[in-house]
Amino acid sequence: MKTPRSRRARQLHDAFRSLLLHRLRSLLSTLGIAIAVAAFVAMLAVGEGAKREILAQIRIFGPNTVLLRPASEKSGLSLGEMQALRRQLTSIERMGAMRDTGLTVTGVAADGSVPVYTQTGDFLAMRGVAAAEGRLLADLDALQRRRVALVGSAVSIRLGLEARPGRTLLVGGETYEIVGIMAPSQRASVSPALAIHRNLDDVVLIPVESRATDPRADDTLSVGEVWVEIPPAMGPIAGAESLRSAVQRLRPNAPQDGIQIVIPIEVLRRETAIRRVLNLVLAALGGISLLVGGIGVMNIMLANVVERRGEIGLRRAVGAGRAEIIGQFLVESTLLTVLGGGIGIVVGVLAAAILGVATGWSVAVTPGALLIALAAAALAGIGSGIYPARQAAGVPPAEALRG
Amino acid sequence: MTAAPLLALSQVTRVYTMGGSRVQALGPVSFTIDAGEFVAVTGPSGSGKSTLLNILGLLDLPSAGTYTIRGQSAMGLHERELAERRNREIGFIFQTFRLLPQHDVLGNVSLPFLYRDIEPDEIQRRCLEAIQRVGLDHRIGHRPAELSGGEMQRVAIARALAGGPAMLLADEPTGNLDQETGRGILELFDQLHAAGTTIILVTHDPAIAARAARQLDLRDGLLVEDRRLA
Repeated sequence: MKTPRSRRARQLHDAFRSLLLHRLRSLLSTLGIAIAVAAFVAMLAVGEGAKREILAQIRIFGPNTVLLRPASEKSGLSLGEMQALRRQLTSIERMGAMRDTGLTVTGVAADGSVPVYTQTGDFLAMRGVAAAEGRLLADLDALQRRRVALVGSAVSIRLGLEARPGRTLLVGGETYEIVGIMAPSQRASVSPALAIHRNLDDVVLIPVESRATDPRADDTLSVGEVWVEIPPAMGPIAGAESLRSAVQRLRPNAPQDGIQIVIPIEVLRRETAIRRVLNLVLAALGGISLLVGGIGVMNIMLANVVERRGEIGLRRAVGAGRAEIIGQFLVESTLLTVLGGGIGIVVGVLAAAILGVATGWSVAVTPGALLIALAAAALAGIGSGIYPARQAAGVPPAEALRG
Repeated sequence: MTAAPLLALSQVTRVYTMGGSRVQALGPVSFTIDAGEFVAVTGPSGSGKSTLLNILGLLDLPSAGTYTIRGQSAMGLHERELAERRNREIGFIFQTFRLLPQHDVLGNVSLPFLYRDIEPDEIQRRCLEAIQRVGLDHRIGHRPAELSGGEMQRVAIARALAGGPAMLLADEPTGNLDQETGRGILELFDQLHAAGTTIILVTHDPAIAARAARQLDLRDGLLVEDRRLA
């Protein structure tokens, strides 16, 4: 085998050979560190996934959106009430709503399995929906109460030629003309506290106004959950208060809890705080595991020092100073923990992936997290190697040679 | 003009403190050894042979007196300097060989270079030369577990030679070998001596000591006889 060039490289190679002499012992001593690093990596992956999920949700809802969520099917705002609200609150930037009609598309091969939702106002714009083909639903469609439909991207794939723009669909016995196909929506699992809508890719959207030909019926047409975009200067909390007062003025006799006012950014903030606590607990557990793992490595290294006393004597005899002996044992302990860290990273990434599949949580492993985990393992190695290394170097050479 | 001795001990003593009491393990002893000498240090157990060997090998320092190698005093040297001088000046050969099982012959022989800044090609050259001198070229990639006792001691001698030391210090080098194998090792010492290597051999066996050109006999830590054979 080729001799390594530098003295340091030769010493590293020598330390590695020493560890290989007792492969099983070395491997077992790394287990504690491997478990700690695996927990650490999985924790960071879950934490990072949660952060990204929350950011994605903020992108969906926007930082200034307030939701008016009906407590029951019957307590939601009607189209007339929503329009009145809009007129009252002139400062509101955008307002839109979407509701599950409970109906499905009929007269197609996938009969009865494609849900139909109504939408109104600025909902499509607020959700950032774009048209992949044809066009979106327009204000004029609502104004003229046209029976037009917008097909989700997944529905379009499922129905194929039956869902092309210009074709028609049957909804509740009425014929609707397809005017466009939506581009695939942003993929983000929505927080359970905020979730009411399924993914727009899987639905057919129609204007709520198309459900009644007579405008006098607007007061009976439920619009479902209303999204309101508050001006940034006002902020979502003050905006929510204004909305609460406006809804009370609209429905002076209705129970106050008929409409829940939800501020998504606040919900997300609370969730972030909870996840942060959870992360701290996991980090503490990871830290304790690392400590226990480090003690395990220290134990093995101390046993090594006793067992290899004669070898230490020999090394001193052929020219190793105290620093070289300390260096050798530190390198060995660090190699052990870095090896454990490597194993832990592989296990941690796998565990995070399995956790993500099993729970549906978003998980994300970043190179930074892996570097932190490896650095923590290396530090544990140095920390656990210092005492045994000093013990090894502290024995006078003549005494060490006696074994 | 007479050349300076390779090593010189003057009034060297070594005192240990054990359980509060002082034990004088060596000395005072004074002698010099010239380059190229083959010296046997003899004496019964407890006579101070190992203590003297430790001092000669810079594994330990005298409690009093002076010790110089190549005219340079070893007294008061820092631990780091002592290690460096052991690396460059002294080649140790032990009774139990002390080979590292994780390394092959070449790895064991190159051990001193782990602690010296030197080019890899030079390490390779010196190690191969030392292995050749002890007649183990055919065993270069073998691990200690695959070698006989005699071969292991030859590897240890090659390791001691590879660093180019001023002297070889051998502590009962045939103690763990059968008579026949031991004889082979002693013949190797004779060859090395004939080639100019300084050898200091510690033994309690008079027959082995008789191979050396000079015998230092120790009793109770004192040099009782310094005998030069013809």
